[in-house]
Amino acid sequence: MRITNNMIADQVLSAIMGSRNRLTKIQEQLATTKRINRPSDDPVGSNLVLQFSAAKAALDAFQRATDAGQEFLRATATPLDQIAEVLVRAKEVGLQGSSDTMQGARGALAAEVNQLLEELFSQGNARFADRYLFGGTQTAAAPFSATRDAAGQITAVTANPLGTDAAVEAAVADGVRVRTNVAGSSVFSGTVNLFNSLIALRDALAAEDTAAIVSATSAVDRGVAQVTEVSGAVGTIIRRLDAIRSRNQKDLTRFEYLRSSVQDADIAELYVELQKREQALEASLAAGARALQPSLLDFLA
Amino acid sequence: MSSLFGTLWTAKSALFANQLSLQTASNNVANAGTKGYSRQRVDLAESVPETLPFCQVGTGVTVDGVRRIRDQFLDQQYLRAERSLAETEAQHDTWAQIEAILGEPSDTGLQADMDRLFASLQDLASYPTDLTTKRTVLEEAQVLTGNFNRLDADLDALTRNLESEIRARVEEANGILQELADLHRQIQVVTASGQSPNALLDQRDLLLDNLTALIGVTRFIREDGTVVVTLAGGGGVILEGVNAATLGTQYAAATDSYDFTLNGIVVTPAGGKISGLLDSRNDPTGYVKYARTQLDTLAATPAAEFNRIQAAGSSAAGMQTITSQNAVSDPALALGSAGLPVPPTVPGSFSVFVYDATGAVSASGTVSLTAATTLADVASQLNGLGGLTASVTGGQLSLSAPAGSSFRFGNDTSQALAALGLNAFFTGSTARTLAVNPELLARPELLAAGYPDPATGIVGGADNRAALDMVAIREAKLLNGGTATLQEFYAATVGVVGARTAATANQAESQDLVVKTIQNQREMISGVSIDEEMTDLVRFQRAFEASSRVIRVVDELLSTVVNELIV
Repeated sequence: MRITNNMIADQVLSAIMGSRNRLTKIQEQLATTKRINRPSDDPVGSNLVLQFSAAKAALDAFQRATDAGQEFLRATATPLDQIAEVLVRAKEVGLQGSSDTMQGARGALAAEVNQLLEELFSQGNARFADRYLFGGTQTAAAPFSATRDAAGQITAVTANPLGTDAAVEAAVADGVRVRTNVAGSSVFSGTVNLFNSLIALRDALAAEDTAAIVSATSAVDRGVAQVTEVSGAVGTIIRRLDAIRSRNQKDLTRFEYLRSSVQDADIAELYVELQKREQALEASLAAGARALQPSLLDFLA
Repeated sequence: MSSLFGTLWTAKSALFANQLSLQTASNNVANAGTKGYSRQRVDLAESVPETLPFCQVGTGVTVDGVRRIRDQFLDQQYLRAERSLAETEAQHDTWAQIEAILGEPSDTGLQADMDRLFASLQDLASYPTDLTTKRTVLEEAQVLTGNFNRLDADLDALTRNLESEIRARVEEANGILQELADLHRQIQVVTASGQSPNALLDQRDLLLDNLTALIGVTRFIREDGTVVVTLAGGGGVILEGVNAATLGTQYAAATDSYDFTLNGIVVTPAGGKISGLLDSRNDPTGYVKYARTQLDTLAATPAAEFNRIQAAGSSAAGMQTITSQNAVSDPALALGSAGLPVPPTVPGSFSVFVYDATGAVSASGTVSLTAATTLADVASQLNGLGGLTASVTGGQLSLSAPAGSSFRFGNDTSQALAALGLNAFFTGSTARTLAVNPELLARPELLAAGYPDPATGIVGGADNRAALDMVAIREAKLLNGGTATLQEFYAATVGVVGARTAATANQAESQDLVVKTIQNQREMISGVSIDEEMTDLVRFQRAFEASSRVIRVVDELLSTVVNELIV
């Protein structure tokens, strides 16, 4: 086999170029700390990286929606508690007023119930960050409006004719939507119309009508159960959202781990590889220097 | 009869032959690094011997010629290997450029833009009345459409680059053909005189090597040292003797393909850089066209979904004026055949509600569509309804409410609103043209978060059903015949580009190895070895010296004869 000078030169050059190319590849991975810097580095891996990144972005958004939904539900729980307190107090007043010993002295009780009614009315129009809590999707207009007599007393409460029950949902996980508001009617006009029962109690107390007081009081009592039930349901949803959030958080960590394991470079391994390739380059440089040197010319006198 | 003078002539022929060999060796050394150079050898032969009565005696050496050492079968193999390599390299370059244009995985690629748009819509679902959130949604949507536009523009620029490179390479090939034709003229003259035009043949072979890298050729060597060059794969003769064909390009608008022509006739070259570039430019299911088709699908499909939801939805704010974003070709043509991107579903209808200053419904009506309904019909049904003014200008429908009042749409069973782009989210339906509806940008509050009440058209402020439906587009399997989400479709596209880039790189690498091997074999035969030439130099030097010595000896003998014998 004839070995010519060009062959030796080409061989040396392509060995050095090859070593440099492989070294550059490692240096790029070290500089970015990523194993995949473009899809062709690992087509299947880059597909996974895109999938995991998208899944993470979606989970982040789910988490924010969960937080917002919970915030609104917590804001709803507070007036519900207060409404329950109002009703419990009204029941006590009703029980007190139904006693015959109070005959003739029920005016003060009627006045108290009237105060409680005002409180219930204002809780019915409770707001959170400019949104009415019990208005369904009609959060810009007050859900309840009162008709008052000459003395300023509430004689009737009417709900927004556009409805107070429309659901507002939040998407909190893939394909999972959770209702984040309560229907106004389920609180105020379910089996018992709370406003009407307080109005009836007040009027019965004012009219000293014992039978009416007793029946109104029992209606208020049923009202307490109605509100407590909604309140319990709200608590359940809040806890469910907690569970969803922690599951999302786990998924988030898992996807980040998966992405990292596919895309990120193993730095320690890279350094070892870098060392090896640097040595390879040095070896090909040294070999080249020696292969190119000797010639018959050196020995001809 | 042998004589001393005969011996002198023998020595003289040796001097001449060795001197020629020395010059050839020196030429070899001089061209050791010259590209395309084949080492040369002096072909020596014994002279015709002199016949004496009892024997034959040699009369020295004659020079038959100076021959270049070359293996033509390796040349032929090289032409084949090099044209495949050049083609694959051109294909790989294109895939790598497409890969770089997509620029994934990254925080600023299409994927990240889509993620952010959906995240902002998710926020809109949480805070449907918040104007800042609506603005954020629209901004994210603009970033996404901007990225689509940029990607398509970059891919279009890549197509133009490919075209100009094809033109440049074809011109280069024409130049080489001309040069070859000129060389042939000279080669013919030299071979006619019975000599071997070694330098010209080297040039010819080098030009053929360059030519095959461009256009992929095979060649047939004729007696007179000229070659017949044919396009590989039976594409036709492009050089015969001194006649070179004219290579060219032409554009076929019907198939959007940029074609290679031989003497004006379209042919498909096999191999060579030009062939790779033509594939990159023209392949309807690969390279640039693949990427653009995928991006167009990725832009159009979700845009249509967004438009459908936005048009069916509504926001708490009513509209005062609106213009359809999808123009019809002729307002007097039925909508189904008036050039809309998506025709409306007929028969169908949609409702219009008009509100007074207090927000109460002051008038309402229904627009019905049949297969024959034109845009002008729609305008006339709308015109005057509760004081609305409807008109058609330039194929676009404009609708405006009288001062102080506003209007909304609802109950659209015909999809006419989305078809016309009335209250659309996006305009345009390709990666190039996709944009956020300018009317929405001017009035972000019109971004629909909820759906209108069928009876009154009013939307609850916290109604977020439309926003949730837009969020659901992310999970919906809209593409590849209902088997892939947007994300999956895009990731698959990026995966294909990455896989093709990697595959062509591997292919080029192994083809490069083949080319290198053939090159090595060629070098082994035709290359100059300095050591060898040095050895030859010494050999010829000694022979030259020896022959000189013979002349001196003959000279002395002659002197003896003249001086001693003749007194």
